[in-house]
Amino acid sequence: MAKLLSNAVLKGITSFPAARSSRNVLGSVYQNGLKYSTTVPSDPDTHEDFKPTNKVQGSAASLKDVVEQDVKENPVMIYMKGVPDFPQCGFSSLAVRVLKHYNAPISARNILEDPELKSAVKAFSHWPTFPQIFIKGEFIGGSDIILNMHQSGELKEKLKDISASPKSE
Amino acid sequence: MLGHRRFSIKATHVNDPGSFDSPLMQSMEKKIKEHLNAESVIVKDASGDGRHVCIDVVSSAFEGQSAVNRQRMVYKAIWEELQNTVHAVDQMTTKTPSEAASQ
Repeated sequence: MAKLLSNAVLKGITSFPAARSSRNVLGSVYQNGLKYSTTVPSDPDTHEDFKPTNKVQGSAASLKDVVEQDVKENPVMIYMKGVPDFPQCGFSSLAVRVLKHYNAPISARNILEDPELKSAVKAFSHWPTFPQIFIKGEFIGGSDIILNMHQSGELKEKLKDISASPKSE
Repeated sequence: MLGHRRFSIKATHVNDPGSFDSPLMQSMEKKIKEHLNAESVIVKDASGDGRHVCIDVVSSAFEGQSAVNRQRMVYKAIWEELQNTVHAVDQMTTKTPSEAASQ
């Protein structure tokens, strides 16, 4: 970091005083013609395991692409209120608990963070409530449907080739 | 009050604080009934302020449909209400006439 700052100073860029830590620096540093972004998400509520690789931003059309990409790339995708480690709604909590039972890798987005994403997901699945669970790109339903499928064994079938090994009761 | 309901009390029955049908519940019932040509629709206010509801629908339109498709059909009928007043559907049952009869 020191090297970065000293280079910045050398090039005459004065927007980064030495006292400021890199965590709080927003924006970019130009170095050798390459742009570096120094924004570091410091939200304590999101855990590395569950954080999506790209931050959701932008117009409705591109949000739809984000949703499409989410469900395509992640075998289990849940749009929920809160995060898996800290759900902020009883139904979201139930859905996460059921899915965790199968030890499947879960990807999640917190729709409380972003109202535009919330609308985009609703439009994508034609489903008005959350949580919403997608498995292998297919919209499965909400928490009650997931619970039913878990009880009937249907969920085990669906997750068979995804989960490492189901937890023993 | 019992005469008002077509089904016997289920184990999961929710005691609604407001035991009268509000206009919102009634209009939701009507929309679902029309949209699905349903035999029977019950929309109950579970929280007293219209924000949480329980929905029971019996319709032959559900024949051959998966659980998620059935619910989607119902949601489609009341999409507007769900964007505004109604915050969550606590419970929804979607049965065909034959499934309801065997309960």
